[in-house]
Amino acid sequence: MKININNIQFSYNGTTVLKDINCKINNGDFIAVVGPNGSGKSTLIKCINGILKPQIGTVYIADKDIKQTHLRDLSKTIAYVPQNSNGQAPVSVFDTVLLGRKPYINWKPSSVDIKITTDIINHLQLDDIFMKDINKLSGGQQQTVYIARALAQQPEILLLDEPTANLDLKHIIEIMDTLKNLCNKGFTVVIALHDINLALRYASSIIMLKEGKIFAHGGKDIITEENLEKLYDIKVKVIRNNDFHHVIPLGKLYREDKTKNNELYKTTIG
Amino acid sequence: MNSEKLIEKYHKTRRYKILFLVLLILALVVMIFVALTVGSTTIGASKLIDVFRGNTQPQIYQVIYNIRMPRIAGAILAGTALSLSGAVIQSLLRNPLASPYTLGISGASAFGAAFAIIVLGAGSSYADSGDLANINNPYILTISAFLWSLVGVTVILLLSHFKGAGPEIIILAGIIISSLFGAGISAMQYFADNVQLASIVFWTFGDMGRASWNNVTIIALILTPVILYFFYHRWNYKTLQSGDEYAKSLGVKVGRVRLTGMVIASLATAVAVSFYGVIAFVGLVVPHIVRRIIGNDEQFLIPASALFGGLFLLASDTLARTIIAPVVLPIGILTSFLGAPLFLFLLIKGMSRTYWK
Ligand SMILES: Nc1ncnc2c1ncn2[C@@H]1O[C@H](COP(=O)(O)OP(=O)(O)OP(=O)(O)O)[C@@H](O)[C@H]1O
Ligand SMILES: [Mg+2]
Repeated sequence: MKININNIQFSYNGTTVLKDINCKINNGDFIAVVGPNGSGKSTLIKCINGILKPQIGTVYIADKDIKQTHLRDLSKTIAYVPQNSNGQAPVSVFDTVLLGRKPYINWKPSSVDIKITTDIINHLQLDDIFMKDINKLSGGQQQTVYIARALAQQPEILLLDEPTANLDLKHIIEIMDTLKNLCNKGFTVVIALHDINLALRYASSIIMLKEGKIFAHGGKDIITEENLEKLYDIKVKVIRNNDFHHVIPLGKLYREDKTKNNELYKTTIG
Repeated sequence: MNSEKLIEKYHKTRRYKILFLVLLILALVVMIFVALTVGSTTIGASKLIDVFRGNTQPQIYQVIYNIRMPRIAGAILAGTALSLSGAVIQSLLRNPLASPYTLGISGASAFGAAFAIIVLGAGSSYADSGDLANINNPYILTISAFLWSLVGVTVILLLSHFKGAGPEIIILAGIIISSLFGAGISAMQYFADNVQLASIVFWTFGDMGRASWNNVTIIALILTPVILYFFYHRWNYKTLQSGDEYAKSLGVKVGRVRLTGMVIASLATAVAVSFYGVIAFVGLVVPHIVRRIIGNDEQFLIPASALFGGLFLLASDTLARTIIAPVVLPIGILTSFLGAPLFLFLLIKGMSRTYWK
C-alpha cells in the first residue's frame, strides 16, 4: 500500500519535533529511517499510523486521508512495533501474539485467528516459551514476540521502531530477511534503525532525519561520508565495493567545540 | 512443536478456563441453597421445597421470601458489582493495587449516600418507622452516591494522566481521598440528629441486612447493562495491557474507553455502596484470586470476576450471619479482616515488582 506523507508538522506541547516532512512511499518499498537520537524517528512512525496527530499536514494511506479512516480499519492495514514496551502487564506470549488479531476479533478468536497466531509463533521459533509471561523473557525474546504480534495482524504496511535493538546476529538476519520477503510480496516496510549497515543491506531507500527535518532521502548513494558527518557529527569511513557499501564510524569530529569538550573533560574527570 | 500441537495446547488452557466458569456457577447454586437453609432458624431442604410449593407456615415463607432471598440476591449483586468494577479498574489503569475501595471510590460513594440523607433529606421517613432499610427516596441516594464517586474518580484519572505516577502513588491518592470523605462523613455525623447518626454509622461499614426486594431490583436493573458493557469491551481492556500507544495502533480509542470504563465502574460501585454501605477489599481480592487461577486474560477475567465476586460475597455474608449466631456480623467488618492482610501481602510483593502473580 502506498503511503503519502504530505507536509506534516508535529509538536509536543508547543515544541516542534517534525517539520516539513514530505515523502511518498510505494508498494513493496523497504524504507529505513535513520538519524541521531531525538531526531524524530519514532514520532514520524507514530504519525503514519495515527497514534499521533500532526498539527499541520496530512498522511494518506492508499490515497485516503487517515483522519477520515476508521481507526479499526486502519489497524487492519498497518501494524506497529513500538520501540519500547514500558508498562506491559504480565500476559502470556500466546495472548500477546493473539492480540495482533484484535482488529479481526468480534466475540472470540476464530479458528483462523488461532491458526495464524500459532503459525507465526512457530515460524519465529517462540513455541518453547509460548505460555510464558512476556515480562519474564529476555529483551531479544520480547522483541521477537512484538514482531510476531505485528505479523499476526496481517497488515499491508509494517512500521517498526528499532526492532533489532535487542536481537542477536542470527535473529537480526532472520527478522530482516522475513521483512524483505514480505516486501517482495508487495508489503511496505518502514523501519527506524540505528545500524546504517543494516539499512544499506536491506532498505530500498533511506530517509535521514536531522532535528525533525528530512536531511536526505534516497538510495545507497546518499550514504556518503559527508552526509554522515553532518548527520551524526562524527568522522566516518564509507567503503564502496561495487554494490557493497559499508560504514565504519571512526571517531569524534574535531571542530571548534574542541575547547568546550576539553573543559567538560577537565570538570568531569580531571 | 507443530501448529496442531500448539493449537491443542491453546484449547486445553481455554477449556480449563471455561471449566472454572462452570464450577463457579455450580458453587454459586450450592451456596444459594446453603444460604437459604442456615440462619437464625434452620430451614431444611424438605421445608424449603414446601416453601416453593406454597404449602408452608406464613412465618417460614416470610423468612425465606422477604428476608433471606433479597439478602442473598443483594449479596450476589453487590459482590458482582464490586469485583467487576475492581477487575475493570485494575485493567484500565494497569494497576494491580486498584479497586473501588483502595482508590477511595467506595468512600466517596458512602459520603454521597450520607450527604443525600442529611442534606437532601432522602432518608427522613425512617425517623418514624425506625427501619433503617426503608429509605424514602433510593434514587436520590444512588444518584448522590454516584455523583460524589465521580469526584474521587476525577482525581484518580487526573493523577494517572501524569506518566510518572506509579501504582503506589495512585493508591496513596486513593487513601487521601478516602480519609477526606471519611472526615466529611464524620463532620456530617457531628451535625446529625440521633436517627440520622445511626444511619450514617451504618454506611461506614457495609451490611447486607439492608437488602430488600426494592433495592435488589434497582441494583439488578443498573448492573445488567453494566455487565454487558464490560463484557463487550473485554478485548479493548486486554489490548490496554500492552500500553496506550500500542492499543491506539490497534484501533482502541484509549481515552474514551478508559474514561467511560471508569465512570461506569464507579456507577456500579456507587449503587452497591449506596444501599449496603462500604464493603471493603472485595473488589481487590476477588480479581486477584481469579488472576491467580486463570491468568491475566480479560476475556475470562471479566465474567469470572463477576461470578466469583457474587459467590465470594454471598459466602462471606452467610459466614457473617452464622459465625457468632445469633449475632449477625456486618459483612464490611468481615471482608476488612479478610482483605487487609491480603492487601498488605500485595504491597510487599509489589516491592519486588511482580504484583500480578
Ligand atoms: N511524549 C513526548 N513528549 C514531549 N516530547 C517528546 C515526547 N516524545 C518525544 N519527545 C521529544 O521529541 C523529540 C523526538 O523524539 P523521538 O522519540 O521521535 O526521537 P527518535 O528519533 O525516535 O530518537 P531515538 O533514536 O532515541 O529513539 C525528542 O527531542 C524528544 O525529546
Ligand atoms: Mg525512537
